Amino acid sequence: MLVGRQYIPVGIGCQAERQVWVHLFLVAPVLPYTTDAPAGFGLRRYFAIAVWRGTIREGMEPDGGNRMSRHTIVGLTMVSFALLALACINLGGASKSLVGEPAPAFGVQYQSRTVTLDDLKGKVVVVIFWSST
Amino acid sequence: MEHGVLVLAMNVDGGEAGYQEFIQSNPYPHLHWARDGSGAIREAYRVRGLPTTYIVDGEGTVRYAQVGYGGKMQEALTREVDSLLE
Repeated sequence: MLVGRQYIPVGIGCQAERQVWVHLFLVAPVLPYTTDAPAGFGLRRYFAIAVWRGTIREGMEPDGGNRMSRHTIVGLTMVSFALLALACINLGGASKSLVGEPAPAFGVQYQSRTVTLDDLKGKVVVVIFWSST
Repeated sequence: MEHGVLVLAMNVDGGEAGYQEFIQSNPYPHLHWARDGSGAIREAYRVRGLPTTYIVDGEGTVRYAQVGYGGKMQEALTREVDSLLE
């Protein structure tokens, strides 16, 4: 019987395209116990780590046949952290690999005309890729 | 543009309407706004997380890359830009 016992699911997120699966994979091992976790936890946070605790209530306990052992939960969590680390290393490496290389050419509409990277030669250009959502 | 530095804020996500609304409500005078609606520029720059920041020197070579916000990102950006302007 797990009802009444404390649980401490841990979520970790990394703001990136792959964040969602990293997050979900990490939470998955404790998913039966996280039904009252904050919705959307961890998404769109950069290297956010949070821990929240609660008490397992009636209805939150998984079916006996599906209950994961402590070893399984610990093992899956460790695998999740390893995958997260690999994903974050990959994220950093992908962009850093451009350092030292010619910047890819581009043209953007700016004040009703097209401005290319060539037009900006001689200037230091800081390019920030961002999202409004 | 001031001191030979241009800051290009490239929107790569969300719709055109959201982008327009954002830049209208955030009139940062030193930023040059642009939008990569097709995602081609994002792909060419291998952007895997947002925000991603690059510094390109006057010769067109990438000199700095940063994914996300780092604790000392501002200092790093300042140092890199200053070194390129020397």
